[in-house]
Amino acid sequence: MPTQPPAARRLPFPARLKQLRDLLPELLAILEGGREQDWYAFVWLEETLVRGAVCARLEACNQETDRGVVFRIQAGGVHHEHATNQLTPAALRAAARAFRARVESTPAAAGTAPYRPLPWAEELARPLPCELREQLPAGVPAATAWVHFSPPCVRDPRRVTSAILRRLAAQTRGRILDESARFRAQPGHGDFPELGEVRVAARQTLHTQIFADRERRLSQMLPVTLLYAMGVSAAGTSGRAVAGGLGGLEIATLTPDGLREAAVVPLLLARAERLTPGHYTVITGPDVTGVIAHEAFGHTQEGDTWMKARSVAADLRRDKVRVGNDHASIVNHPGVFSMENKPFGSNGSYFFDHEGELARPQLLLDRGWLGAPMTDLAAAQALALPRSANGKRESWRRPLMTRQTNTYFTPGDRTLEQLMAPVARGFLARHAHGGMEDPKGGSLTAGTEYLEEIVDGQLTGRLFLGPAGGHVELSDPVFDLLARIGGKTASVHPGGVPENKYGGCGKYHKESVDAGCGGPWILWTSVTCG
Amino acid sequence: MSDTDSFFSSLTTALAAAQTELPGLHAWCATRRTLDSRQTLLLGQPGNDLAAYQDRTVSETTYTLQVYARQDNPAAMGTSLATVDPLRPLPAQIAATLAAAQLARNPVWELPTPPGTPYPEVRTADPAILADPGAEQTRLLALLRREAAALDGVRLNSAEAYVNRRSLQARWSTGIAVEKQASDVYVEIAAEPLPGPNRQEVNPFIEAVGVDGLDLPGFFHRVAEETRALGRTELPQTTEHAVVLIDAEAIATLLHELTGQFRAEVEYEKRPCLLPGAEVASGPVAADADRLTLILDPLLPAMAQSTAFTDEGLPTERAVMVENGVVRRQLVNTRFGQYLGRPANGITGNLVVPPGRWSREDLLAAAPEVLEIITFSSLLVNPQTLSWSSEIKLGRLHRRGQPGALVKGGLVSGNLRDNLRDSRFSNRLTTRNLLARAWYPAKGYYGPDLLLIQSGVKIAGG
Repeated sequence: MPTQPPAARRLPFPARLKQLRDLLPELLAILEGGREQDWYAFVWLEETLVRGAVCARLEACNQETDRGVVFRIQAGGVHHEHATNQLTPAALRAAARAFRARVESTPAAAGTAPYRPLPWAEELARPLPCELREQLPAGVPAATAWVHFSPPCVRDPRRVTSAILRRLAAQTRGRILDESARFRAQPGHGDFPELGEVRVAARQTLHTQIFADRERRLSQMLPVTLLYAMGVSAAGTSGRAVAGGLGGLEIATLTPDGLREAAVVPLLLARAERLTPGHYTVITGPDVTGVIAHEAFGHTQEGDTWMKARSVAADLRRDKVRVGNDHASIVNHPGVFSMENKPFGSNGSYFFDHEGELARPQLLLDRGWLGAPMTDLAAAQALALPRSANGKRESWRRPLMTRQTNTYFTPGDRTLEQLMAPVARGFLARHAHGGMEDPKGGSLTAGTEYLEEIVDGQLTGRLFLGPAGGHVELSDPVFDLLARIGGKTASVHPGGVPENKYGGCGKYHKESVDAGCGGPWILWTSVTCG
Repeated sequence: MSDTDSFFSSLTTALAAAQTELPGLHAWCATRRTLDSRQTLLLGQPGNDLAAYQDRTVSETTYTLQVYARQDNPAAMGTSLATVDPLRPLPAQIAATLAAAQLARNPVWELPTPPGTPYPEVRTADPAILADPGAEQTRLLALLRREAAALDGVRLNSAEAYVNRRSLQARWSTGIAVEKQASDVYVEIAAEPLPGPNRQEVNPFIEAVGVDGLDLPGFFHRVAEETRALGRTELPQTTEHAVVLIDAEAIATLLHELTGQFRAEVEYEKRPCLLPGAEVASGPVAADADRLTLILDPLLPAMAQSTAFTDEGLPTERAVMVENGVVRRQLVNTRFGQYLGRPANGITGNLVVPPGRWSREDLLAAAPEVLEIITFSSLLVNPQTLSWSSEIKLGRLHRRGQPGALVKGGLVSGNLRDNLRDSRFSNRLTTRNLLARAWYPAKGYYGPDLLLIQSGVKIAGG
């Protein structure tokens, strides 16, 4: 693993939540006391602190505190939940008692036997990533012991103020405007107009999540930092740059390429050519590669989608149908805490999911052969498959589903120059612009902000927007696409984890969650572009 | 609505005290929001029975405060929005929010004072949900199961059903005080044709203010027809001159982004905008095309954007935004009205488009080939350029007005302003309510159920 900077420190459990945390075992006893043989219950508490500053022509700051608890009782085949943000001890005890009474009075639906949670000894008998194992106490933790996790941070997120974020946003905006002015001052660039607007947002989010069931008590702190910049030309063309992931403010620095993306690219795109719709050779960067991984055999390998007979993957795996070539390997990994040449992970990472399952990597697609799907508790039981740490919810307000964490193509053995060399005419796609899954139909679409032309293995400097002047969509049937991977770049990460970009996911157009995705540069010999 | 929420009273009292004690605290706004939600996720069973596998209740009360800070030398004003943490002392939270507001340095503006005109009467909630959301969820699930059991030739794989009761209370230091109650219902189903196996599904959703507004029998009838029609598909042909037919949801999505260009803040921020007098089409409009007329109406009962007051607490008003293809009004709130030297207005609301002149049959026969887009995979519209694109999740190619092959895959793209140079609206009106999501605000639409676009559409396919 890349070496952590010496000053990096893990975040201790916050004292302000200790009283609430220590109440959870009592609430758990209210929920399932005496019914352990036929029920399974857990309690989940989450706190999300957000601090942000936006600098554009106008400025604003915001500070948000969102805190809520979820009670879960599995009785029969139904996962009952009650969620609330009225968090005084008296209100929580009353809510737990009322919820239990409601479940008691609900006719038990026939179905799955109640889940039996794994004791620590059984849990630790399975391989566990070193980032988790090294934070466990020595020996086997007691079922009543709290186990706390957090990633290391150089700049302590608890000490980041609105003033610091506002200064970062303002300075970054100034750098972008300076960069844009320098570009316009260059010979031959005098007729480029000024940028219409530059908007920079600096944001730090600190998630604290606590889980308790009868076998384990867990907590984790997840600091997510984001620096986002967007330049917009008077014509409306735009360029975006993002720096962020799981870590402190030290990771929020735009690279020179990022600065250029917000400062210069909007101006260049105002004069970009428009793509003739068709099929082209395309090389995708980690950002776009990741969206393809996420949409291709990410959503298709979500256990609840299998459970609902809404994924083509279940039949394909059963029938041993190969769905990609030797390069087509996709991983979902909740525990990405370092990647490529970076000592931090993506915003999709955590140590345990929202049902208390510990993070372990999973191979979803192995050289074109489908593996088992990711699961949440309900899907794992319904499908009689192992649990994975993919039970997530948008927030305590929303239902839990099987969700991706960090989904990426595995690296290959080439350099970017080697991938480009055989391309007679094609395009480079660096920056993602959305995507959408079709797990039943086996197709996907992944957007890219624009395309850079390659001729005879070299970038020509010509940029192309979509046929109607917007972003460019890349789309094909998944199996056709995964059969046309011509090569992948190598990774310098010792664990073979390529770069995963800051991102999010809205499953079936709703339920927004953090989700990283990435991979190497990939050569696709033909992709439909429009 | 709870007038007896002691914490909200404490919050407004503390803010009023802080306004006199803390230098620079120019004004404030406090809100209280509640949510009472019922959420059920269901799995399809043999005979299209539906079995719940997740059953949730949610109870939320959230408070926010917005602080407006003003400074002299040079004159500047800043804002900061914070959610209030009920577990921490209020004075410290107000002081921290003020400190954050003082970091932002914007031109000064005056907040609006209580309006001289009364707020309009608007129905924003379903009385049955207000009375008992749990009972309405029970009723909704019974209706869902009844409709599901009656499906013929279709297998229902899953469903989701949500009933939400909401309330909002807001008070400003200037004396404005507003409140409203709201409700919404969401149903989503996934279905495929029998006997299977299939590589296609239909996965629509429907939203309304109340259970009866969903018209579940009509919804299931449409879903069943669409599902049974699934079959062999082909890729569309690549063309730079496609003619496509889109539905009300897509029309609402496109027109919603168009209205974004009528906002005064967009003009102030020097982003692309359409000011009064501008043509919405990018060039000459075809002789027999429909010229767009677009109204914003906040007063339609029980729709997604119906409201008696604006975000600033002022009475809302209905307005014709576009008339025969020409922009007539601008959306101007108090702040940007003062920045731009224009009077503010309370224009907001649901999108309303008058009926066109054409039947569905007319529209499908208007060109030798018309591609009806039944479902976009993900229709993304660029708010700056109004360009749009999506994969085609499902479509049907009509030749000389006759239905032909089902189409799946390929990419369709266009630019709304180019499209409006040759477009035709259907003569049948429909209502669509699209509730707010993490990525977009609520959209209400009442207008033609179809739009034929004959210019500016390109397809990448086979």
